[in-house]
Amino acid sequence: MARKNANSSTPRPTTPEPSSVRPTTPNTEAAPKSAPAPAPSAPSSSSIGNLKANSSPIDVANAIWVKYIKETPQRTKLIDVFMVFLVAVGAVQFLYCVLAGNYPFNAFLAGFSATVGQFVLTASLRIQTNPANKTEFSSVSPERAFADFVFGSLILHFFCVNFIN
Amino acid sequence: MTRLRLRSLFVALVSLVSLSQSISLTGPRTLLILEDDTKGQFLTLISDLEARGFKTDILSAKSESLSLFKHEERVYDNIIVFPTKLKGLGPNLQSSSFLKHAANGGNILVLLPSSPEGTIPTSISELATQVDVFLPPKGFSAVSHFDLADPIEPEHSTLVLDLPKFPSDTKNYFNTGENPSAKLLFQGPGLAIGGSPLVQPILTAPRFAYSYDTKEASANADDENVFAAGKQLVLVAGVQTRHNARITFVGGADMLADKSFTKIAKTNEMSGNRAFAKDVTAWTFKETGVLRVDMIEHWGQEFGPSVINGDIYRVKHDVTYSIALSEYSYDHFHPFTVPETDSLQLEFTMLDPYYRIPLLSSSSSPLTARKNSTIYTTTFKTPDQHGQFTFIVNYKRPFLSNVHEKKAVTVRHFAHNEWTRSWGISGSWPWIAGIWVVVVGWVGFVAVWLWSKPVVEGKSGKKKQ
Repeated sequence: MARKNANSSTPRPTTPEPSSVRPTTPNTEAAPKSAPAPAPSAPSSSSIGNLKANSSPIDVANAIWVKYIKETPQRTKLIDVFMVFLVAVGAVQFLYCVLAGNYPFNAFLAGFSATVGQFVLTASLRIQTNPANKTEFSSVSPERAFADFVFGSLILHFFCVNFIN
Repeated sequence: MTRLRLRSLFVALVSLVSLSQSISLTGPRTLLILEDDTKGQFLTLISDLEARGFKTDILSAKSESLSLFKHEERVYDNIIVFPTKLKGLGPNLQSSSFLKHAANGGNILVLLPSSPEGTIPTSISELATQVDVFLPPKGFSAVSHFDLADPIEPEHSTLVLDLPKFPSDTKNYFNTGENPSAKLLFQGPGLAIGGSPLVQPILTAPRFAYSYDTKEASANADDENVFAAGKQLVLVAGVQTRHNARITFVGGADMLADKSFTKIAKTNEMSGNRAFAKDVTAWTFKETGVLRVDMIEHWGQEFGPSVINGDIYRVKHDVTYSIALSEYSYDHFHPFTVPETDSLQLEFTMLDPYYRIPLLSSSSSPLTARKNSTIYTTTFKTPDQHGQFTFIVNYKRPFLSNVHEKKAVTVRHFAHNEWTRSWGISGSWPWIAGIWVVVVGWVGFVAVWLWSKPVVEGKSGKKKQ
């Protein structure tokens, strides 16, 4: 994967690589010990700007956020917004179940699993349409992935509406 | 004035006619097993019975024409066994014949001899044992040294008793005489009864009375010579078999004899024996204490009162059950009222009672109004359990004929289209809203996605080129 990544010129030059010895920027936050390791990783750090090896967690988070804003395609951002929305709706429903009881249990199941199922479908859409994963899903075009997503979502909605009776 | 007089005459005539028509529910044919020498003692009793419409047939136990059955049918409806000097009553009056008579619905009144010298025929003591009544052997006599009927009587063997009293939840059919404070005279050995629920004491001895062996201990009675004492010494006991035939034992025949229908020396008042004799014979021969179920109606909330006594009901739905009861009293049925401290109950049973609830009397049933019966009604919700249920009214009380009414019905579960829809349950609204929020959000997402797509592609396409 790393090799492929290196060959192809993707919009995102840096991808978190678990196999890579050199720490990429997101990793620095989690592993300050590995930071002192040889840091001449010019290609990875160049695009982010200047993040010191022992910078504060807030700075690291800011850097991640800035990088995310800067380098994530708009479609992926849109997906992320939708997923956050689904998590919020699901959390509200679960909270209601905890507080008010699960009396029509099928209603709870239908409502909650609608958000969960939609979240899963959206996550797979995100994986399949992320330009960074293009090599992984060479046979699946974004259009095809979106069509699958729409088809799956319609089936999910149909089931949930039926299940709630 | 003349009109009034005419009317009272008419009323008297009507009451006379009804009096002569008054009749036992079992039937009027009455056999009196009575020897000629004792006949003279019971003239009033016999004439009172005849006045109430009983057709008496006086036969000696030795009579060859005496048979309780003909072509396997009861010849008599009621039997009175008077005390006799005979040791056996002969082949036609075995205890099995008496039991067969009772098993066929006939009633029996047994009068035991009052004097200690009197003998009890074998078949009578056998019959008593079989219905859980125990008779003392020959020579016993009940005495009370503290409440003397007649101060000059040396043996103190005549007891003076109050009329029978029962707990408030039991109907009293044995104090219907005109004078409720009248005293009863009793002379005889008494009885003891076993624990069978079919046997009920009608009259028990006063606290200080006891029945002892007069031959063994004429001077003083000790433990071995006492048969029973106090409330355990029963003077009159009534047995009602499971199908409501009645067998009554009177522990001393003199109680119903002419010589007791007199003034009591102590109080100088008329004894209550004659009215008591009427009450005892009336109860034994089913002129009183007989219940009749006139109507049973049950209907469910599903179809309403338009479908009566339907076979199928639904879980968790209201069901109304009504039963109309009337009670026989000498010559007519009248509405039966349950004693205030008692309760008529309905059971809704599948193996176990799921409900046992009181049936309350309603002045007017929603369905039918009835003149001669009381309608007891209750409404309840069928349990959340489907299966074969049974409505049971099981009313078995002392001195009342048994009411045991059963009706099995099906209780079905909800059909699939009878459940409340989700929007009918307010608790599910947040989750319904959740689904539609997801759907609407998804539609919005798809719309924005389609709108934003070309931009991204264009960019990447440009870059590639």
